[in-house]
Amino acid sequence: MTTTTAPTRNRNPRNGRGLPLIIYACSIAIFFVAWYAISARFAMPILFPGPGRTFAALVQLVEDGSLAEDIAASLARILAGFALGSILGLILGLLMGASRLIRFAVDPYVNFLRFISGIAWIPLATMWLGLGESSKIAVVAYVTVFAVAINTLAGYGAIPLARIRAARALGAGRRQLFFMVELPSCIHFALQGMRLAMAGAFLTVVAAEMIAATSGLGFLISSSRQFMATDTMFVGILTLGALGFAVDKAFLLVSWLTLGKYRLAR
Amino acid sequence: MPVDGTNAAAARAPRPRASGRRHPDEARRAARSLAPTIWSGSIVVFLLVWQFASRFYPPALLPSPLRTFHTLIESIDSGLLLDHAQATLGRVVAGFLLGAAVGVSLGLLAGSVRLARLALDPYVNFFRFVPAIALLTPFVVWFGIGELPKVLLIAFATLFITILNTIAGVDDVPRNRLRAARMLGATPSQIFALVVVPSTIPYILTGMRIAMGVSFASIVVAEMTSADRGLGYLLGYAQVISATDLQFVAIVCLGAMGWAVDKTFQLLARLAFRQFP
Repeated sequence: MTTTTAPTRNRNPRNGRGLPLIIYACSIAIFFVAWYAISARFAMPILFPGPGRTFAALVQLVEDGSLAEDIAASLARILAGFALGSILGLILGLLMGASRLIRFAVDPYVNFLRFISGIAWIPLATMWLGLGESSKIAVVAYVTVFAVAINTLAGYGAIPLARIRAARALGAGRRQLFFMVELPSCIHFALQGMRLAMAGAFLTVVAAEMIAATSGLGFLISSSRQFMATDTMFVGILTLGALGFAVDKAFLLVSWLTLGKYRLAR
Repeated sequence: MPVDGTNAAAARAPRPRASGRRHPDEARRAARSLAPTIWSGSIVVFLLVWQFASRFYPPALLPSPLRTFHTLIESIDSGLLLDHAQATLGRVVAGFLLGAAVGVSLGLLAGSVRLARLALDPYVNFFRFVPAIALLTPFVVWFGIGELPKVLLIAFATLFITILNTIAGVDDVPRNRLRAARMLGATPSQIFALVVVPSTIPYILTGMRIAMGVSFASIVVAEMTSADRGLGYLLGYAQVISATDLQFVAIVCLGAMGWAVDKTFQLLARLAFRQFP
């Protein structure tokens, strides 16, 4: 990251060493000061709680265990739906890549449904599958399937023709070609798709919990509206950000530890 | 693999080799001519299965395709669908343009000025993990249930994706292009306006395209929970009165709008890529 491309950027490499940390710290400090200053201007702290009140709400929610419960509920829904959707998406993407018949048969649905967000299905999923966990898991899986399938298919399209020809020239059969050339070439793309899908899964689960649930971070945020507990909302929002960050990094770490040369960069 | 003999493209293709396996390009061409047949066959089968399955369920649970189509025509005729679609599109476009304008400006600034980049970095990296919908509740508390909170929600959803992509675009400007401009005597402001911004446009459009998808997802929840117009409202309303056919219509309309906007962006991006390869 030492090479800079933008023309107006500082071109002296020595300036870049200790500076980032200081600017980071300053930038975060300014944020908290501004937050405090804005909240102090509100006559009713309930409308815009400052950092102090928010932190107090956080401590309270951590102590009575309700934050941990809501995190666990949201995370369980996300992971279950994400795992189900990833497996189905990978299978669908591979089938679409390996067989033209399946690709053309499935193509209209994939291309139509991927523009319909999982959120739009929440009322129908609730009606068909009930208010319980299965409707949320189904909607999260729905969101994941398309991101993973489309990316896996893109991976199929990106396999260099020379690689397939080389394998064929060396006498690989259809099955060997699939397991030793096509599948490994798609893994990286499938992982990218899963990483993208994770953001969609968070978005969808929060929406589902806002519309039809009695637990989870989305419910925590929407239910605090009835009590005007804005500080609890802030805690929920900040927790979601931290959770998304942690899950993204955990996903990278797992791919790094288990997938060897197929892992994702950074 | 049967080849349609009447198809001109297939007829022009070279004859299959003696080995039995055809040249990949040739196979691809043959397959392309088959695609429309399989597509339409697949859709017909789906509609038949749907029609058949709907006989076993009450229409409130699974309306038949004919009934859904009838409702679609009816809601177009009465102007209901157009009215709600207009409300949704207005909110999405307003919020999207606001978010994209701020996002592109901040992205260009952060891409070009190191200080701005470092100062923005912690926020961009934190808030891009916050689902926009989570902000719906505080926005409603602060700004009421009118248009403003929805527009701001969409702007928020658009903002961070656009910033991230714009910064990536500024980073990826080919160095030789910058060097060439500098060598030909361009001033920093000229380089910015004539080299950096045009080279970044494809990235910006990609970011906006992703953001548009998130915007359409976010607006549905906002309208479901706090609005009296819009497709999300229609969806929630249809659920309350158990009009599942109307729910299907709203869902399909949302999908069609998302599709149309996405295709527009793809077209724009292709034009931009053609000019700046």
